[in-house]
Amino acid sequence: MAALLPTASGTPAAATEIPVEPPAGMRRRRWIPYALLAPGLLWLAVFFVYPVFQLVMASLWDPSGSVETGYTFTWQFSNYADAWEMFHVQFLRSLWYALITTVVCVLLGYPLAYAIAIKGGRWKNLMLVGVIAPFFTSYLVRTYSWKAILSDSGPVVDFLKWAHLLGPDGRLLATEFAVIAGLVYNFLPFMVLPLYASLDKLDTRLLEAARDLYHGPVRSFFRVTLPLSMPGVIAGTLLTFIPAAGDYVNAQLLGGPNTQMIGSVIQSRFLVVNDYPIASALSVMLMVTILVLVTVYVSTAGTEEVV
Amino acid sequence: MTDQDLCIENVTKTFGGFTAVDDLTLTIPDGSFFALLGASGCGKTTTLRMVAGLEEPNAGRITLGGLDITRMRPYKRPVNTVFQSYALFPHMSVEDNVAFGLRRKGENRADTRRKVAEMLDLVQLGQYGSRRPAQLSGGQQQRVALARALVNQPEVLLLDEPLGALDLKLRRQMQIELKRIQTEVGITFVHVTHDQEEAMTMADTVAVMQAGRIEQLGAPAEMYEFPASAFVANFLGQSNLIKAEVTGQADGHVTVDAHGNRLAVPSARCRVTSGTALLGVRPEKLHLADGLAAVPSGHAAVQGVVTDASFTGVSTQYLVRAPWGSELTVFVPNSGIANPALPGAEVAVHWSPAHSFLVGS
Repeated sequence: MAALLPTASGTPAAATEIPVEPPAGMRRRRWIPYALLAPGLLWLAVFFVYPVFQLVMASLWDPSGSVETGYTFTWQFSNYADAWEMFHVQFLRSLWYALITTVVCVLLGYPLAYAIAIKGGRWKNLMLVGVIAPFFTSYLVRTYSWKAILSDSGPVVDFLKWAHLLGPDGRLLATEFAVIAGLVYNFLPFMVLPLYASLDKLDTRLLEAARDLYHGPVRSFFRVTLPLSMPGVIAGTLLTFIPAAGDYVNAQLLGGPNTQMIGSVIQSRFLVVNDYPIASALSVMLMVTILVLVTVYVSTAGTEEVV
Repeated sequence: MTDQDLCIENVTKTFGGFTAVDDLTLTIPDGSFFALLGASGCGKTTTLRMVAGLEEPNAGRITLGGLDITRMRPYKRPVNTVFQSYALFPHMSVEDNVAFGLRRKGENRADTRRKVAEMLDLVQLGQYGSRRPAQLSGGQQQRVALARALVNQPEVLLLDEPLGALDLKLRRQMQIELKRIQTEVGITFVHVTHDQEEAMTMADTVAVMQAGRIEQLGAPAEMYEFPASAFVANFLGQSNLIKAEVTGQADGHVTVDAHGNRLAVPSARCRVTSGTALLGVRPEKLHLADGLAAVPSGHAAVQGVVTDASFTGVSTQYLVRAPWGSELTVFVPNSGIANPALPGAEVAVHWSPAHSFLVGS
């Protein structure tokens, strides 16, 4: 209390007077949160904010330039129109594939996560390891092995032909089926893990209460289990949809020209054709579209009320 | 009035090798407030869950008003439960929680709304309808759970340690509240608890359970005054149990020899009339006198030394060491006469034989 001020009448201030300066120790501590934030913020600034800024700039370059001659910044908004003109098919296809992938992942992942979380018992951890196990191999390697599995002389095609589910010259590779199957396979764990996390927290006594209040298993599921696992569903669909929409490995390795996704277009525009402005414009478009879709989705599905 | 008694007949439930409920037979009269009392693991909750349909008995039959409900699905039974943890749906408002059962039963909107409002008023939560369970205190959540079950007008309401999570003061308050509600709605309440005081305060009939069986069943006062066994004597309140050898019977009394003291117990208060037994007297039925000479005639007495005296406000609780080494607990009511016996004092502990009872050891 060294900072007591004399009042106007010259008598010492009442004890209720607030010290003008906080003690030195407290002032020093206020820096700590910022100090802790700094490394992360710096990292994001260098590796996220700056590249995005560069990308947006590049999407407005004059397309008549080239990597050799250099580009000039001319606010070339027509790049976006051109990019849409040339690649809207792949663009929409990507969103469509991502949507199907997400839906299939929910349909496959929910029962799986439910089984592990609610019925897993002592096998829970082992089953979870099973879900995560594919991550021990690289994404690319796993997708290549799918190429072998689905290849024209592979076991799956042989079986389907034997069962007459596939014509004699039918194939799986280079079809939509192969691309979406690959996407589903690769992103399923991203669906299962958040679903598992929210189902594992589910208090099964609530299900007993629902049963006690005249709800059979199906109704209990839709009135209690599903609403309470919505945070997991939302997290899972985001973690699946977003990377699936921008993915190019599956379309590249398992697909053909008719199943090309926007990711492969961007990749080839950047690295093969060296058309930086169009590639950048496509990237920005994809980013903004996903951002808008996700915002609409999250605000409609509403996570705030489910704790 | 239709006969809607809940009957449990020879019901057994085992989990693996453990027998939770062992050949239990019990009739719970329609409209009664029935308490199942016992220590944890005695099978009381399992019994309740079998009535609710959340567990299936291995053997036996449960009927409600003559209707066999043993294997009926829980959502088809005219029975509702107030769960120990309340199990309120966190994603729904208080109103939606209470309306949960009614909506499923196909009740129309206006009726549902009216019944929910009435029920919330009954549990004094009228203005909390739009809140989420997480925004309520423990006591309020408990009342929502009660409203959610009661609003369906079940034949039987099952309460699984409903007050266990509340603090003492709130628990007392809710005990009175629950009793008031039960009287008001007239539904059979089956209340599971491990708190003997709670069971005695609230229930018309108490069943004391131990190891999956009913140890004694009856009105609280009746059981307290004349317990059927040493277990009940100790579980329902406190008892001084003195080991005694039955020596004979005369004039409507059973005479016993307790560590050399010849004592008599009215025959009507004896569960056993031969062999080794336990003579019981409740602590508040024991009196202290300065010596055997001061003991009123007709009272039984033993000598002892005060080892401890603790003042609790309403009474002073004394521990008196009897000559054979065990200690007797004596509650002397604080009736304003200041005559404390100090530790170390030689006293005579005496009681009216009509207050003692004899149970098997």
